[in-house]
Amino acid sequence: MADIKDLIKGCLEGNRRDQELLYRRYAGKLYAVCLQYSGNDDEAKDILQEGFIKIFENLHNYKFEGSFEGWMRRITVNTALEKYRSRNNLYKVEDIDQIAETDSEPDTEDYSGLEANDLLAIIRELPPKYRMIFNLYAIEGYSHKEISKMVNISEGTSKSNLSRARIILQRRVGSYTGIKKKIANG
Amino acid sequence: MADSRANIDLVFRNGLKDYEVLPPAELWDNIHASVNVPRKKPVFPFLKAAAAITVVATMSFLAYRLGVEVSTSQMNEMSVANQESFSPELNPVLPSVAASVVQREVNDSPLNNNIAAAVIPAGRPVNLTGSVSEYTNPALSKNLMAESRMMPGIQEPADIKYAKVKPVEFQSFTYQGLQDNAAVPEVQRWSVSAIASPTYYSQFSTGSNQIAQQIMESDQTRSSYTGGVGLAYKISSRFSIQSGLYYSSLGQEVGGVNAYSGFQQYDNSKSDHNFELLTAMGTVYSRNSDVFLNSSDLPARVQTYYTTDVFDPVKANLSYVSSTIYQDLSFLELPIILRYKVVDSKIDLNVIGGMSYNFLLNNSVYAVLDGGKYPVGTTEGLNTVSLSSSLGMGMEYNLTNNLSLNLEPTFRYYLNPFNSGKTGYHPYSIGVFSGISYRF
Repeated sequence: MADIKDLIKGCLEGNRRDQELLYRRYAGKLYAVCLQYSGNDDEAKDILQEGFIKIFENLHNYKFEGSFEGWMRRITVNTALEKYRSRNNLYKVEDIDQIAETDSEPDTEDYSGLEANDLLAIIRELPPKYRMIFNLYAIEGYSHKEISKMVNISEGTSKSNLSRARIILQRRVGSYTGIKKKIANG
Repeated sequence: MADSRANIDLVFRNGLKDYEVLPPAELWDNIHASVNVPRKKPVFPFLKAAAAITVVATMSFLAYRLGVEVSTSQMNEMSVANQESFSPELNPVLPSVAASVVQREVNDSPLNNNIAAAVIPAGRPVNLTGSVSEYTNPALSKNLMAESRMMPGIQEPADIKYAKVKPVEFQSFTYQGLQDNAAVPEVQRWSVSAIASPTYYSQFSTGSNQIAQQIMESDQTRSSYTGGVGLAYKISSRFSIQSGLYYSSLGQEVGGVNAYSGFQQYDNSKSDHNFELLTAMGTVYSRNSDVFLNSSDLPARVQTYYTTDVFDPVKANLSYVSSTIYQDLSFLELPIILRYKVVDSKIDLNVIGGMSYNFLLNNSVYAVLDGGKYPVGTTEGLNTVSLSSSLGMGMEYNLTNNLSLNLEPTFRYYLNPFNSGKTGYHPYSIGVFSGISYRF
């Protein structure tokens, strides 16, 4: 496997083969990130495409400090965030409220038997705002203060959205687990 | 419950940590097509290259023309020049190559030695910049014409007069310039400058309510000034970066606010201030316990326990001071300015842009009493550091190689508000910076 520094150098020189190698090496992981941040496949493809274009265009800014994969992931997440911001006005507030009102506490905390594709499917079912807050907080590790600036909401809204997202996720994880057990037991 | 909620975070974080999904195959083609679109190259290198080519072409052309002038006008030069027309003290030395060409051609010519000696004495400076005076030596002229007749292809005009040869004008061209350019110029990268500017401040109104809007509209900014010293470094022939230390002042007049003196005897308050005056720059706290403030135009802008229904300054026989309050602020500025030289000539034209950190130095509020300042208080809630951006055009007149005069009309906008109050004071300023620079 080619050294990442050589790959980056080749990409910077416009070497098509190195560009493709770099893409092939990281596209899978980054596409999973894109799916995690989007409600449908087309949106995920758009994020990956725009994200990779930014990665190649900004490759000269990477100073070989810190993880290269982390650097690419940040660009991808930022691209997803830009998409979210541009589409934010299109999301209906009542959709979120409706879900929030019908939420109740989960009846199970049994998360066994869930695979990554199950988790991805569950997270993608979240309303866009909840999905974004949950991803930024729970997966990327941003604080509520940082999220409030990134998403342009108050810290309180960020906290309440996270709380609701967790409740929804717990309920759905429970449902998934139950269904899976039923299938397994015949 | 909190643990279970944090637990769900971990379930998703760990579960999705190394998850990969193969993207659709066509995505790479789209990405590759976008990434490898030839980028537009910046226009500046092109301009630089064009300018360099132009300069080289011009110099080459002039050099070529010079060579042609020297060689083709040789006959004319020889026929008209006399020794008196040369002035060794004033004239530059002909570049060695051209001089040797002339010398060789003179030596090779069939003219007699006297003429050759008269035209180009060995090692003698030559004047090619001025006109050659009319030659009136008939004997020499006859010799020249006789020589000309001997040359193949040269025919004697029918109306030729030997007594007088028409004067010849040399093309005006200064060799001195070439000589100067030939020497490697010392690059003067640093320069210090002293500048000053009268400045007009105003503001984009961002008042959040009606009172704030009225305040913004009623307060009048005053003409102010900026001055200081700068140090610039020339990054390239066109770009330079400058920093320095500037002192700037700005102020405003708050009209319709009555100030009275003599309130101290009635002041029973334990507070450190009795009055709060709302202004566009921020809220003024009256730090002078002797002052009484009220506003007849906009009573709501003066906030106090001593309202007019509680305390009447006229009945209390307070001394009226003024109906105008002045707010003064001064800053120490630390600018970072980039200059791009658009025109590089005797008068250079620059485009200027940059940012500046402004540190609050002085904050005073006063009224004018008998020509002197009657202190009122200070403006509260001001940010001690503010950031401003600037954009301008600059003219630079080069007095000498080292000295130049500068004139820079500049627009500045304060990026963060001066205060954290309701009014969000975002001033902008227009100033004409003038000064002198010394390059070294």
